[in-house]
Amino acid sequence: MAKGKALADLKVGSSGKILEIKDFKNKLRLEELGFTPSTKIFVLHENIGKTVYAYGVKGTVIALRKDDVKNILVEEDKYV
Amino acid sequence: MFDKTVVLVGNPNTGKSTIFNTLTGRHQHTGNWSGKTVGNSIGKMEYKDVKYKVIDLPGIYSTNPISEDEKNAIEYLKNEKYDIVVIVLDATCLERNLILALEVSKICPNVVVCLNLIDEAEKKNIRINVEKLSEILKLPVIKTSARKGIGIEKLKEKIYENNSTCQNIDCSVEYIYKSCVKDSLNVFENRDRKIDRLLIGKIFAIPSMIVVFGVILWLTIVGTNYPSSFLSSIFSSVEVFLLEKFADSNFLIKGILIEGVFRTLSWVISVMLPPMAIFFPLFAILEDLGYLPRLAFNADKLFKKANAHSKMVLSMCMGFGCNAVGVVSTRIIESKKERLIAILTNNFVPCNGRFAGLIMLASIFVGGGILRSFKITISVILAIVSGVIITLFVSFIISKTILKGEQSSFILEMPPYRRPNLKNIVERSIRERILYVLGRAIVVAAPAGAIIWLMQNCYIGEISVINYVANFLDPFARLMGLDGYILTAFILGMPANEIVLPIVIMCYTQNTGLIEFDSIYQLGVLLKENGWSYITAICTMIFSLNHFPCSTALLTIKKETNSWKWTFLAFIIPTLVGILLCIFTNFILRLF
Repeated sequence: MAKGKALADLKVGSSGKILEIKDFKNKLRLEELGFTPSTKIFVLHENIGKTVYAYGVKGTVIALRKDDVKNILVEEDKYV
Repeated sequence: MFDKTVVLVGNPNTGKSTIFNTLTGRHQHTGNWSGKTVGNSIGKMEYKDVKYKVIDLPGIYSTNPISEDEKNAIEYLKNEKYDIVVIVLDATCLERNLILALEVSKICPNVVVCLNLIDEAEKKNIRINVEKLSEILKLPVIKTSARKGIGIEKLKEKIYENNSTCQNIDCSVEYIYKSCVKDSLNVFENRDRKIDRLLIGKIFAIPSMIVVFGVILWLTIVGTNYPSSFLSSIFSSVEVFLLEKFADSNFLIKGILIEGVFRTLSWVISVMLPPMAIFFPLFAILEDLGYLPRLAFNADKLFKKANAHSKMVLSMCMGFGCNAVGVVSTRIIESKKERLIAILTNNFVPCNGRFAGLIMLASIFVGGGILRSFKITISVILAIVSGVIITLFVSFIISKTILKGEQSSFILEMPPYRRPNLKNIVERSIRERILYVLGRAIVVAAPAGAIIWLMQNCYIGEISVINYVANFLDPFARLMGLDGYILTAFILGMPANEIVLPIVIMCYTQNTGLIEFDSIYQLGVLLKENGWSYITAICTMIFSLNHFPCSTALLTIKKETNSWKWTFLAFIIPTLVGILLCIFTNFILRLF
């Protein structure tokens, strides 16, 4: 299996699959919001100043700070 | 009184309050964003022979709360007695919603699953096998669309016949979802993403924000004039009629009731009500569309720099309607420190009552020409922008002094765009703006009118009480670019901001008596005759934006913070900011 990349490093327009969420204060809340291992995740938008990103996950759109998504490891989809 | 209790639970923004309203016939606020409902609301429903008490809880993601509104809901669910639980699920994102459904059905017996927003799901080509879902969950599942009234009778029937037990379902959410749902959604290319590229994309976010607010304000400004002069002409002819009819009666009727109470009421209704009644529904459209959380998304960097929480944007938006509502809505902010910052600064957003005053003043003092309404719009936008800048600045200072601490993270759901329910908005505006303001006019403005009249007609030596007070305040008020009457009006207007400007007008007309105005222009003449310059108007606008919250807002702050200290700070901080800004502005403008 490819080594995980931090979700924060994915560009808008890319997608991936969540591998794991590192232990940090918002881990539980993120899981409740649908950020669970093997879930497909889509990077939809970034805001002005690139502090927040909008992610598509399980049919919803969730905005998260860049600081938080460093803790989410994903396997990026490769389009050939 | 009630035979059974029904509780509505579910993720935020799944339409619980809309279901609640259709079940109970009540008019609970609804809006298209997570966290609209922050407290429990109670209603009653009768079905066949049973009387139900229906409870609408704030939305939750799980049974582990992190914010104040979620705590409310979960404590209720865990500790209170109830008979039936209706889990409201959003059919457009069932997978995420199922997480909570499984948790709740573990701890609660008698669960009915309500698959809401089914019409939206169908539009998005999401097909759900309800029989299969019901079979796996071992619970009754009903498809509904509360907005369209679909499935509500069936839901009532299931609530009526319900008798399921606690379910410990040993399947993963992913498994349930895969076996019951077929979707073919293109995540990157759909309607919402296209709109979002315009409204939150890097290039268009700020221009579109200006356009959206500009259009709303412009419509309010242009639309205000006609009903305002119409109402005013009616009121002044009624006053003339009344004064003739009661010409010989005593001071109680002629003085207090007609010249005091009636005249103040007529000013509040003709000058303040129209802008309030126009702006409110327009803003409600934005709320229903789902635009408000996008504002928080756009502004995150600014709020992050100010050490404030970006969800404050939502409580600020609610503050546009009423600062007391804004203060309550800060419950969605998880961190206590950041919630207090939001409460202390909410007053820098002009509420509906002050907003109407700002529009009136801008309309009077901004020059003429074809582009007049645009110039007025721009000056009101500038006033609001300055309010936002002050909010950020004050938040930063508070976070560095009295409320130090770590900045918390930002997690916010972006709702799908929805078509606003215009019928609902119109009903809500009539009930909550027009009737509410009329009610307040009677409760607050009428007594204020009587007090003003008494102050104008009771004398200390040679001078009337109002002049005495105004003269006393005058030197200080002049320093701030105001006059004694304006400052007196702000103090007397503490119960409700919409009576401030009417009190000023009452003070100016005390000697001339009745003035009839059929356009805003005449109101300007009155103000100019009483020494107003554009500096007075600007300083009055500044002090209107930055002064103590009204008494309702203060009481709400006391209730929410449970502390006199924070209530006092919420009073003193904007007041000091206002005084300093007025003195500074007055000083600078006089140099020219």
